[in-house]
Amino acid sequence: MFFNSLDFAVFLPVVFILYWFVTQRHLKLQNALLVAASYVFYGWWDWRFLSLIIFSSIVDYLIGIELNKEGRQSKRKGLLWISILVNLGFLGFFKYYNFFVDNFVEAFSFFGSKIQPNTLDIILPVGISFYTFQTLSYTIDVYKRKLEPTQDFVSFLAFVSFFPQLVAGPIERATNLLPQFYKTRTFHYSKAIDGCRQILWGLFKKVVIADQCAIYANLIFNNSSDYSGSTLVMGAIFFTFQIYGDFSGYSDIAIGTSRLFGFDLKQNFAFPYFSRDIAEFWRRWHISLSTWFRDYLYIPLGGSRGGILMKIRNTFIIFIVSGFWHGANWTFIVWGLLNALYFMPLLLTKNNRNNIEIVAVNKLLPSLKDCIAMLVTFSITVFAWIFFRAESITHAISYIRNIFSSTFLEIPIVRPTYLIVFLFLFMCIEWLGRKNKHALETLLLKKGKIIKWGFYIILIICIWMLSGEEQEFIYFQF
Amino acid sequence: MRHFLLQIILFATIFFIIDKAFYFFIDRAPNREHDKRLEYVLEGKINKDIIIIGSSRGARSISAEKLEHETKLKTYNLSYIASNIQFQEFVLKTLLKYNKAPKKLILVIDGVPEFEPIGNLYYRIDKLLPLKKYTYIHDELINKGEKNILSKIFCIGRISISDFKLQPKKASVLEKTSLHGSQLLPVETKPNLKYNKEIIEYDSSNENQEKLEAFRKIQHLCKVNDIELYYAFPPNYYSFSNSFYNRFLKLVNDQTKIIVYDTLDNRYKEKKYFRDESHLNKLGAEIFTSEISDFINQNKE
Repeated sequence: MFFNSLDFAVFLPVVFILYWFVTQRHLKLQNALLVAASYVFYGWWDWRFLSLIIFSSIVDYLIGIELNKEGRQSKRKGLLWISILVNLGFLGFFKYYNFFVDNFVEAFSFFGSKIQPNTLDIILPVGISFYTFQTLSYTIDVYKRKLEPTQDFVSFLAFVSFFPQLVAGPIERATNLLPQFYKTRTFHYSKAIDGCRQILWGLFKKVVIADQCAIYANLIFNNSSDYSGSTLVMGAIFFTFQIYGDFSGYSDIAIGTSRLFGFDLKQNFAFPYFSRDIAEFWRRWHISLSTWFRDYLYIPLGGSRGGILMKIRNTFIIFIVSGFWHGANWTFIVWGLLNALYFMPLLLTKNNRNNIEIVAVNKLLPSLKDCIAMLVTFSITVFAWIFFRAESITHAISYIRNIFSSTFLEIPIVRPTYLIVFLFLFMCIEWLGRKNKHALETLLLKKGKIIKWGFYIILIICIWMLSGEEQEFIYFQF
Repeated sequence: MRHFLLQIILFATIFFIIDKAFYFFIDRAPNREHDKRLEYVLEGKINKDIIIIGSSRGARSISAEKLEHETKLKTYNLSYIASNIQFQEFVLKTLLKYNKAPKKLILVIDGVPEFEPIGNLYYRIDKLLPLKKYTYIHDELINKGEKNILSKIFCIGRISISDFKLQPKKASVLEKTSLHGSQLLPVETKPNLKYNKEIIEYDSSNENQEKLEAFRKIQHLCKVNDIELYYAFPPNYYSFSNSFYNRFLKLVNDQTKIIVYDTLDNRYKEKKYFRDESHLNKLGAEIFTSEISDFINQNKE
């Protein structure tokens, strides 16, 4: 089920009413309702893959309990490895099997041996990368004794499958989300209203920004050899906003929806396109994934504790793995590698923690220095997105080569005025709300109801008017 | 909770009221169009004796004015450029719903692309979108998945950005529609046009079943409404595909109603009568139209 579908527009109020009016007095029943609703939500796409989530949940639930009982370190380690192998096994099979087979075949053919490729026609289960990481974090935290394993099976099922964030994150930690299932939730008017605002902003990002940018990004990327360098730059910029609108829009809807049910999820995007360096960008982009890799990969590998060489090695590893997490294609790996390269000068000069605060705190406009820094960071990010969007490395290289041709200074052929106006207004609103968890959190709150509601109505009109066919969220595929 | 629900209901009510103001844009959307033919159909203004239906080959290759003059039967051309057979069936169904049934229908056949699954012929949603104020058309847009069911209640669900434009659309030379609905092409030939002698072999195993179904529905609509159905094959600047023609004969009950251009007429080998490989220009259309009127006159009861 997509958040931007009619099905969800019916599903959400039904679950909301059942949750607050029918099951409110019984916590277990309320959690059971959330599990059932989550399975309906997921099964709407393909009910057969529910078995994967259920299996994964049972395995990690039982391993969690065993880890707590078991005192011997070797046995505990074995249990942890079972969980890792089961979860990453599913992920590896569904997401990476064909990639590895194809690459083996190509590698062998390079040395003259011909092997018949034995690839499979596999459907990638929606959201597998997200819920796999979520359950893994639970087992690892229990193993490290950072978290008491849950005895409440229903709460655990609800934690793994919680529908707002099931298919595209944020990737929640058991330490944050699981305890919320143990406590009775109370309805807070201000939380619910803010949740609605965040859902509205998320829908705007998805339907107005991402889906409209997608039209032009697809047009330009799919016919890149036909366009001038300047038009190709426009294509890369449109994709930059598409991926941000799509993914952060989904996160906003997920967080907003959770708030309607009395849950608090972690912020996943913190206005990353206002970053002044790439380190800041990565602290603000897909925060739940970046921190997951930091806590479960970077730090166990030694993090920054060793010498400079270890730091460099670990940084490259997490960026490359992060790229590979996005998809089974060399383009994602190069995208990760490129970001690692961007990061290196900051790491080597120990400037990677310079910009912790959001830009221009307590000021309306940024300084010239901040402006230049933001522009440079944005430009290198746009450049890296070319690899992310391209069909193959060859496509990305030819795209970049065509950008830096004699047609670079021509007026772009594709320049939809309405979209450029929307992007400008969008960035203005994001700028005004950059200190908050989402752009509409405090915007116009002190104004009268007429202005505030008028603004929300304008947003709804834009969303509805521009919503053509329901477009799948990009991050569903990851 | 009560306060929250009241606020949501109040907001939804205000939104519902404001939404109705957008009907203005829906109502004036048809006024911007230069091709009014479908709107005339919906308003019951197309009560003619002969109706021509097809794609661009129907719009360009038959002059409805000349046909009317030569047959003394009121004629109108409802062919839409780049339309597929499913759209043509929809046009006929709409015509019969809102107008008197014609005596004769000329269905212009595209040849090999007629039943191909993928090609350059489409269901012309863009021709329906400006007419969404008509419930019948709006329902069709919902059927086609272009609009969702909520657009039945909310005006905002029906409009698109282009509806906010105020200036009427301008028709290019190629889009100009005559009073009788034809869209004849100026006498101008593509400079590199060469007669293509290659004979295309038709593969019926590749046919799209939905297109075949639409074709059968046209036949059925004509039968139940007592309309004489003629099938017209206009000339191309390439060889006639006998294999398609043989396949087509199997789909037709009355083979005496098939009008194939005179393949022996050498004028159809001269490029001055063509605009491009698949379309006659105005001069060529006059020759082919005369062939059709001769055929109809000879078959008059």
